Amino acid sequence: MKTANHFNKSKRGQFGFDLADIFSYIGYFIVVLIIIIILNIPSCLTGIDTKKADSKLQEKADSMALVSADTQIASYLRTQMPERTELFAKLDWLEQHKNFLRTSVVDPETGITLPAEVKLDVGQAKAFLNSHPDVYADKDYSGFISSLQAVYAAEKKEQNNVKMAFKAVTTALFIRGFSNGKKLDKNNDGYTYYLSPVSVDFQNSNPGESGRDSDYDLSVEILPGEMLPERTPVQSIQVIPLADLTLAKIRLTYHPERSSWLPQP
Amino acid sequence: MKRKMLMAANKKGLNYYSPIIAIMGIFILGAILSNLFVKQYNLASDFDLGREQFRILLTESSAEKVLLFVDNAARLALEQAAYKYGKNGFYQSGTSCGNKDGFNLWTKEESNTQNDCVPQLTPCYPTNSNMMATLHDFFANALDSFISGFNGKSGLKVEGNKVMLPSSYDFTISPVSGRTEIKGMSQQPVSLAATRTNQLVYDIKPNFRQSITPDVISDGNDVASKSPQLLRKKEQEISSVLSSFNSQNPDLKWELASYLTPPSSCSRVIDKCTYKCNCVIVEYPCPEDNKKICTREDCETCIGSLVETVSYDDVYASFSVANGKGFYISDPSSTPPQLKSVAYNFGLNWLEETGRSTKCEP
Amino acid sequence: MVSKLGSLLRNKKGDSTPDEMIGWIHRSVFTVIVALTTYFIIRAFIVTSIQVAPIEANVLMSYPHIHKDGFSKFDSTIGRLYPGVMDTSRFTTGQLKLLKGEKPSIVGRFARNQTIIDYHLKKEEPVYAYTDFDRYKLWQPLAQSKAKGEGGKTPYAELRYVTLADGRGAIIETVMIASN
Repeated sequence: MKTANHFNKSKRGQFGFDLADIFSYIGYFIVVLIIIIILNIPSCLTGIDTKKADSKLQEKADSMALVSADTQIASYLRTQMPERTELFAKLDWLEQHKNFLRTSVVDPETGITLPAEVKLDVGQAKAFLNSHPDVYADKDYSGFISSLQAVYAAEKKEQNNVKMAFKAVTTALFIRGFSNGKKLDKNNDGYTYYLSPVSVDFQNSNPGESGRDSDYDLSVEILPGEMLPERTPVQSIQVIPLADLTLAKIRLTYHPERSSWLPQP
Repeated sequence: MKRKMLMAANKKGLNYYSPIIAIMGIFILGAILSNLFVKQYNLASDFDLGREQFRILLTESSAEKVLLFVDNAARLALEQAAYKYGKNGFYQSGTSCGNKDGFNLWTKEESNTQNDCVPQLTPCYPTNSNMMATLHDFFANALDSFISGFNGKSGLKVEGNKVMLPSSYDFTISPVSGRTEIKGMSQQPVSLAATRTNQLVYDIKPNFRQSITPDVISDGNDVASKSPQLLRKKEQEISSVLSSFNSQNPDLKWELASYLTPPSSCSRVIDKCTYKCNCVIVEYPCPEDNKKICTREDCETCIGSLVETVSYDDVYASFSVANGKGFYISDPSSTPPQLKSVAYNFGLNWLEETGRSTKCEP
Repeated sequence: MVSKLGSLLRNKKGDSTPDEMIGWIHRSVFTVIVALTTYFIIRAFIVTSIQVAPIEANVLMSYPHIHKDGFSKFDSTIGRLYPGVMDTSRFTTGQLKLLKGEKPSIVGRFARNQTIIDYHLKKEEPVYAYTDFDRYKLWQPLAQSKAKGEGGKTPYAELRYVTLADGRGAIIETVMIASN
């Protein structure tokens, strides 16, 4: 008996543990760890992961962004063009505050966002509008675009003027801004300005939904670096008729505002 | 020895604990995991909170795109219609008074033998109902072209289905101060299927209300009411009349486009008359000198017709009344649009007598 | 008892000793730990509460813009609503009664602001409309503090451009406060 006890104790070690038990405990927790890791890889086991529910919510957020983009482009197109005095007052403001507008461009090779110059010649736009008052008089924004197409198609030498007029007028009407709380200097008047890209295709090149803005006949955007989206931008396309029975596509690339720019309760 | 064997039995004693726990654990875990897969996987993969609400919102959004297209098409169609309405002098095609150099005539005066060379003036002044009907017809044709363009070029697809706009409308032209307003009530809805698999269908009637400046119907009435004052005026007189029109209503600018006076005449028989006919030359010895030969003409007397010829200036005066408004119009259609001024064009025709003569004719 | 349990789990050749009894104690503890761990792993992946507030807030933000009795211009003659075109006379708290429930779990504030250039050219005060003014004011401090957990309030916000019926543009700032 004593020998057996002694034998058992030596086999089992202290407190009744033996190596088999210890390794089985360790083995169990390792397996648990592995299972937890596997279950947290969303692609392996879908439907059991709470993140899937969250991602569905994210999809809904993008659907809402699309609805919002659709309604915003409709609002743009139904906006009445201001009368000459008011329109030119807005353009004058733009000319005086052009230094405070910043945009950015993504380097195609590195993918880094770099600041870029806002190319806006308000004087050129005003000269065009003075010589072609019928493009905007008593029209809404969609009528303005269809009138621009007439000049764009008929007068080749006016195409650059049409592009600049589109840029300036669109910016004057729809640019947004918010107080940025930064120090005032020659490049900052206390506001950050932005404009989601608006592009127009007169069916000349038919770039389609995935086309770059440069493939469109007319385009404008003011996206400072801070616009780096928290969520993927969504696109909305509206088709309008033109006087020669063709169709124009107007594309709005809606960049949802960053959370910090949204109003607080 | 026997004890040692017993001790050896302890050492060799099988321990069922681990395998039993392991097998129980495998069964229990397997049952729980499969339960989760069967129930929760389906729930989570179809976990689409708000799915129907979003479908409706996105479909409604697509419907609004269609309606925006219709609104824009209606506006362009109204601009085209206003331009053509004015260009054609408020008539869709020609008038019974005819047309001169592209201007529809509102008066035509003719003098012919059937009416004994008494000038007969035919008036073709447009009435308010003429104007409404003309604008309506031009608008309907123009809108139909835009809708055909949309339907043909697949302006919009929803859930893979092409959206087709109906082209049957009831139009109403309403008077609105300073504007031409047209309402279109669609006879059929546009149907958008919410999804390919869902039977839900979104129906909406693409009704519209559009207006443009100016009020072309009121302008037309103004022009038609004043135009008789221009009848039978000399070119210089017309200028002063037009000046007075322009000062009365500065929104409309009257201009004389052309003033043509090709000659015309009308002849008629007014009486019988006699005239010398069948004349022959007769030689006879001269009374003064028998050696010389004299001649004389011996005629018979015939009865003929006394014809009166009235000479006229067939005056064609063409007028253009501009309201200062311009639209980008494709005329003819499908050509690059050009800026065209809206102008109300019409012509007046009358006869001015320049002289009379009579002649006895066989 | 432990040793008896141990003897049940072993064949007849085996025998219990005091060390075996101690071994059974930690094995029992380990068994309980395994059972509890398994339970908690499974429990961790069961979703029992779904956050509907983000979706509901986003849907409700659009609701006054697309409803016949909401903000947007409505032409009763032709039966057309113009979402994105706002009738300023309908931008009132009274008009938002369509969103007010008996005990709403989400309340909203809609603010109509000028576009930034209009603001710089001639400042005007914003115009506000609430779904439930009293409740909004009550919840506002909690939402600003971003308190979590039961009784907390979470804000959801949106900026949207609209055109006004008189032709000018406006920015609608919407904040919905949802109860956790």
